[in-house]
Amino acid sequence: MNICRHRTRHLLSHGLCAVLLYATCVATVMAAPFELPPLVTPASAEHHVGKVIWVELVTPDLAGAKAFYSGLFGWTFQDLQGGKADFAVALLDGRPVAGLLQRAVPPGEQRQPAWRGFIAVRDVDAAKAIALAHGAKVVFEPKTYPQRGRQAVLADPEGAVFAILASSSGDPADVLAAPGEWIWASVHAQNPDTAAAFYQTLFGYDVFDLQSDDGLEHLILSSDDYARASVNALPGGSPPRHPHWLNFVRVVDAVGVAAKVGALGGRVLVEPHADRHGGQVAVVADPTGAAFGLMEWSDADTKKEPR
Amino acid sequence: MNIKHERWMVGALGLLLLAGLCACIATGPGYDGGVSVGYVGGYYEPYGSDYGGWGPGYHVAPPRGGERRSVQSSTHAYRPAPPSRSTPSLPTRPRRP
Repeated sequence: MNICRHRTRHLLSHGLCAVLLYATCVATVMAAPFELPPLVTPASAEHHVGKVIWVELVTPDLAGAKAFYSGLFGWTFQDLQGGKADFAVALLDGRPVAGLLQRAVPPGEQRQPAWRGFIAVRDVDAAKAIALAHGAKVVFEPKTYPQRGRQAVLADPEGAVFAILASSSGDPADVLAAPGEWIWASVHAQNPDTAAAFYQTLFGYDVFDLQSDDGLEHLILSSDDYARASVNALPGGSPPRHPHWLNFVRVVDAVGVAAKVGALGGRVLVEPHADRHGGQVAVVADPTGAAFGLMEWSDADTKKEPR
Repeated sequence: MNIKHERWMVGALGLLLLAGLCACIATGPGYDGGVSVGYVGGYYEPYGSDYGGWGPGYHVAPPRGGERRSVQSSTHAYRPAPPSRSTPSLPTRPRRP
């Protein structure tokens, strides 16, 4: 009887030790802060206010997104903190090109996954204050991630959502994006004129008004003498839509990539067509509905390097 | 195993459960056990980003640089760049290997 009791206690003791070890591991993982990698490695002193320096996807299906973008652009992925991580960094030739965040769609809400561009600022809190003073709203309050920097998510006065980021490792250099990298962004607004004024106030852009064949406004926002984004009027003649930002990936063959989108379970929203620069542009969506653009850009498409 | 040993184990277990609870309060349980709870990002768009109506003249791409600009009017909400400045384009410099 005593031997049996002793064995029971012995087993209980080992069992408790195992539970303690497991609990310690779980507590350690859960208590670990969510840490994002630096934007630029090695860190640089470059800053390009107004430039889209990072792009992130929110999706309910991280595994599905990885399969889609891997098949489309050849991106590989690095899970943050491994295991059941819900954030992955997409890499192209070993370089970080995007972040993918898995998050449940808010229950009972009619919402869709989206790609979000992060625009460079020097001081997130100061930019937030300026934005609020000019009609913007805060979507996510500023928060600091030591290696990444400080970031916040805002909605412009029309409701188009964008993020701002003061990178603690500097901003990526102004180089021509390689195929498979983000090359361009556009904001589609009900009133491009006032939208451009808002972003000019916030980021100090120079604004250029281009001639347009359809009579709709097409404005170019620039900083450091580089085009950073366009502001377009939301086209009419279709169901009402909300103002939004759209980010474009450089591709060599927009028609071919658009066809691949369908084969991978995505949709083509705007068929490839020639744009202002002569290259093809298309808008597509991944299998969960997150929209992004495809843009051809040949090396010969750009003017000579500015002074 | 004596009573002192058992008390020690129960105490240690209690402490670890408390630590686990504190960790949950500090970071939240996360989506599917994830680590990015409270992350500043991850905003789902409202439905309604349809892309119909992009006619042939609906241009979104950057210019090659130096394109003609619209005739400037003084009624813009923004400050237009001086007419003497040509439209900028994208960087041309390739990435360093």
